[in-house]
Amino acid sequence: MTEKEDKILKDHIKDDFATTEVNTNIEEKIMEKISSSKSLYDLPLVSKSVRRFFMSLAIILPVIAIIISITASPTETEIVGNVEHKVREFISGPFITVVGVVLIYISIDVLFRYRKRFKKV
Amino acid sequence: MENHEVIHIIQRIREGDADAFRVLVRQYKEMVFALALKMCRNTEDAEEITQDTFVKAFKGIQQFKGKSKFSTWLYQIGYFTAINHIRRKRIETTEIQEFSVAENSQNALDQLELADQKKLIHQALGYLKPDERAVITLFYLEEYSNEEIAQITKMSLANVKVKIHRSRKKLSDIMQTLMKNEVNSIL
Repeated sequence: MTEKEDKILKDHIKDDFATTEVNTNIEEKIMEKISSSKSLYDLPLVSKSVRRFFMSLAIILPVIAIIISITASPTETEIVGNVEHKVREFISGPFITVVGVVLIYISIDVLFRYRKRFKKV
Repeated sequence: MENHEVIHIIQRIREGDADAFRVLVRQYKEMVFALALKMCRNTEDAEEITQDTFVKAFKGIQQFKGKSKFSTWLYQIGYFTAINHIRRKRIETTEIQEFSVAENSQNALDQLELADQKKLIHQALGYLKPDERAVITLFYLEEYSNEEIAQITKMSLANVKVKIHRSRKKLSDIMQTLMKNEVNSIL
């Protein structure tokens, strides 16, 4: 590309930008989107400490549950020794713990979000 | 807008004053729109990209550390929003097959009328890929340095240099080809 072409291209792009007209409503549309998006999902969640507490629970409890389910009464598992029993044991142990913690966290989170939303209104 | 003013506005937004964001929208909407328009070449899509860019910027305002210019950060969001939008909507760019340069036509662009030059450049830009158009726009319009373009596009510095060089070369070749085709069609 020659220097002259380079200059012409630069001028064209700058000129093109100068004559570009943005829809005047765009500002309102953006602000509208922002206010609607923050009404529910962008509100701060439950306080950070509560969130941290539940996050730790969600990690620690299943680990403890898994350890217990592995170490507890191995002989019994060996005696029964079938897959069905192991699956049932897993569902009643770590699986329920994980689901429980997650459900509790979601409920508290949703509760807080809605409470803040109604407060705002 | 001075950098310290932008920082002050961002501080207000972080403290919960969402209306302060309007100032930033007013200041940067043309810039973002121009980049989006250059990349997707469609007003409606460009408007959608502009809106999404600002909404994303608002949501991620906590992540802006102030290490770069706000415009650079905003352009980065705009660039990737546009790339994703183009991928999602499968906006296609026209491929030009022949890039053979006509002999003695190196400075032929100078001889064209201004209106014809603009038309030709506009047409030629359409043959570039969206990311090439973005790089060219940032390079010429904002006169960004290679480092800043690399930051916006998350490419390596070497990659940006090569991309700019190749895009300019490609653009020049396309313009020559288009001119040659036009001359042939007249004759």
